[in-house]
Amino acid sequence: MAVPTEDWQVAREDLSRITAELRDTLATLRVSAQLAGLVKTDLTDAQSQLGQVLELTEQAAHDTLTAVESSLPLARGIGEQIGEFRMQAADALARDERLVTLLDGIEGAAETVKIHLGEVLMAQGFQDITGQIVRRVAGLVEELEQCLSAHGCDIDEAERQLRQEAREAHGQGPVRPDANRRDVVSGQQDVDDLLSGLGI
Amino acid sequence: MDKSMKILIVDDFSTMRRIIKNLLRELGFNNTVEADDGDSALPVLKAGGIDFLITDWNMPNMPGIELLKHVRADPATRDLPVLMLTAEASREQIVQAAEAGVNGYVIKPFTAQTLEQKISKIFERLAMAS
Repeated sequence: MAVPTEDWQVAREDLSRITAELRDTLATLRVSAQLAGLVKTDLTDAQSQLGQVLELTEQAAHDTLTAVESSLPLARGIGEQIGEFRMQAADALARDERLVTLLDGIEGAAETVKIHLGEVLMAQGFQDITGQIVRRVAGLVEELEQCLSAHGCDIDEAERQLRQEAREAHGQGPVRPDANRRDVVSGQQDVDDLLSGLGI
Repeated sequence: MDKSMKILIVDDFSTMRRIIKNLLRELGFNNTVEADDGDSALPVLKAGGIDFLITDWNMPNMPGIELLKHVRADPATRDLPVLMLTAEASREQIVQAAEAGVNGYVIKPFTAQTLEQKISKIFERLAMAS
């Protein structure tokens, strides 16, 4: 008995729909498995790695500061000792112009070292700025981990809003310089202008 | 300006506290104490003897803006000069700090010269006002 052509047509359409659904489901399952792996290992790793960045940069900055703190008094001491020497050896210096030139050279070098040490000191401020940025990214990773965990993303919009407000009460952290943003100041001059407008 | 005044430095990053302490020492201020957020700064302030407060804004527990409000609300510390030293750069926040009674606002990253200028300016204005 011949099957009517229309029935074949319907059966074929059903089959192709079921195949498509099955393919989508399989793809979703694969993604879910990948996400589970991502949550279990990669995101947890990412968090601890960010923590490691914080620790390493903090330690390096402290080591640098220790070296600067030990060197600054030495550089200052050289200048003071030269001054002392100029007084003690005034007679010798008056007789020999070369000694004066030598002392001027040492004094100038000590002063330059002091200025550079000051620059090294200020440059360690990077740890504060990058640290704040890293902490913020670590917070995002934590949120993402919660969203992708077995329970799924159960943070609703109201909860997200509350969390955002709680974070912002502590400050927004460093902003990336962007000339197009009018809501943030572009530097200290901008701050000074704003404050002087407010009488400060 | 009295170089022997006692300065409280509040910042959650120990490296930043150390930088500020060193800068102040270079400027001749050797009498400094530290706290790592508003919560730990308050008991130090309550104990008395602090002449100048330098605080960060973004800190865990109590942020700098709340600390400033506490300082202004307490009759014992109401007139304490406060310098905000922070990476917070939104105009809204700077206005908020001004309204809460901040005496100066330095944005990070900052220079030693800026810090020196702002401290001088704060104490010049206070001397003129008194």
